[in-house]
Amino acid sequence: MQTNELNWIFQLVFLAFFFVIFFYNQRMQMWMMEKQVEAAVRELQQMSNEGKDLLIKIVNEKGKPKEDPRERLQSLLDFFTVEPVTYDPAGVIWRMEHILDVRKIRWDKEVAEIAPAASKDVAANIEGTIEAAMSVYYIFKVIRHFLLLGKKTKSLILIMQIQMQLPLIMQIAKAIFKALKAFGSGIPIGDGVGPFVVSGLVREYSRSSTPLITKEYTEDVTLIEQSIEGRNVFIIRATGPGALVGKPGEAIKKLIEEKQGQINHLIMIDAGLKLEGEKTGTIIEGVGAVIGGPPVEKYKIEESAGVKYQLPMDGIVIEENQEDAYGPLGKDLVNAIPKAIEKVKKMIMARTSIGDNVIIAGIGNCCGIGD
Amino acid sequence: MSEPTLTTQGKILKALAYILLGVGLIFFMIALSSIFMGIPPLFLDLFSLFSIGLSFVLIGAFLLAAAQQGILKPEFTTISLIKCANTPECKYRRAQKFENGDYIFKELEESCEKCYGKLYIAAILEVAKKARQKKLLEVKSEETLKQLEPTVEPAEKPKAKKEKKKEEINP
Repeated sequence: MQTNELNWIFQLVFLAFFFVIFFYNQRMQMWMMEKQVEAAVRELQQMSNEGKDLLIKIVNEKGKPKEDPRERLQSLLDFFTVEPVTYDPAGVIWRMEHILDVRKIRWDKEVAEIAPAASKDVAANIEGTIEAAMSVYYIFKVIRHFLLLGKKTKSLILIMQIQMQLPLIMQIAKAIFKALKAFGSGIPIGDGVGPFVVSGLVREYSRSSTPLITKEYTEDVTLIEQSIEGRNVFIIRATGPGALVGKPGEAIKKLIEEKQGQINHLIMIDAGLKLEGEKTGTIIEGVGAVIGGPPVEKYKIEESAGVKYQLPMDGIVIEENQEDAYGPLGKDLVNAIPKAIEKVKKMIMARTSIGDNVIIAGIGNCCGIGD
Repeated sequence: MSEPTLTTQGKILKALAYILLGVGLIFFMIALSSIFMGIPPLFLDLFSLFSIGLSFVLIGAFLLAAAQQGILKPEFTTISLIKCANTPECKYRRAQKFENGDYIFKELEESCEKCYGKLYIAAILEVAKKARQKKLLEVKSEETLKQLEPTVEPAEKPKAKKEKKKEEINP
């Protein structure tokens, strides 16, 4: 073939390529993004299906259901909770608490019916597994929705938004999936470092003085009274080893009211999300009500300990990323526990006097962490 | 998200793939520039430049895809760390595979081999299967290593990957 002819062919190819790119570049871009989102949706669907299978296996093994639980579990996976209206914010906390209570009662009842042979701890673990499976399923449904909607409407913006957020979304989904497996087996998760620290503290001092344990001080919360370095310490944590978080705010409020405000200090320990670049297991200090989740419990603590009784509130946070918080405890977090216990001891010695009444609350999910 | 870890073979393949892709693209560029600028190529003829460039790019892309198969998915195992209740006087510690029903601070029925004190689960943690031995060493003190050794099982061979069925997106 002559060079001139070849030149003509390449010129034509180039022009064709130019026009295709000029008119269809967005379509091509969208197609590539769609493929990425589709791959993510497939992965999410696989995670969701695996989660469902694991859930059914756990319920069948531990709960000994009388009938096939699949249908009821599916309806729980589609379960929704409507948040209270915030246009009129007055009293929204109490309305939210009511909704959360109603939800918990409903779920407890459902789990008791699906898994009649499960003990309280196992039922709590099953409930945690359902919650995690529900979250993974929900993420899958939302991403699929936007993918199909984007395809249907040929909207680049819809696809692009999802595609750009995919790394973060997948990170969250994978972390929740790890939690699902952990709850199913009763393995402690990173969020449970708060109760782990306070129980470690109790264990350390239980040889010098016997702790007084009150189970179910408030619903799903244990109160442990212990003498630590001459102080009367009231330790509050969710009852373990089931996957419970309890209502620590309610317990702190009740205790302060019972003691008629004769509490000198409040220390809270919780897991906190670290920033990228920070090391997992770093222990940091601060002030305020250190508690995550729905704001109901935090509000109660701020209202009772803060506004009403003007108690000094200190907080200790053990830093971890989302994957660590949902996933099983890792070496870095386990190694941080003795350091955190030392920090709490130092805090007690430095900020309180002998004979003081001190509340120490370990906040977090108690899955796999005994009292 | 962290960069996926590759096997040594995977790393070599990836490096080779990038080299081939680079060389292939250079051949392409030379061929294209000679066409659009009307300058005859410095070496080889146009057809050879294109065919070599194209084949290098294709082989490079194939090798890059093959290298992705060598991504190591870390496997984890959960262990229960058991301590004697007479800590710190008694330094007895050992690790065993997590069993259903284990939980932190659970008191075990068996007694300490050293002081006959009560044993309890001091921690439950997840460790990477390959680095299990190494991680355990970091968790425990030097003194307890000898006691640990008999209980540490060799890492299991990773199971063959099941073929994942491509599922439909629409339910």
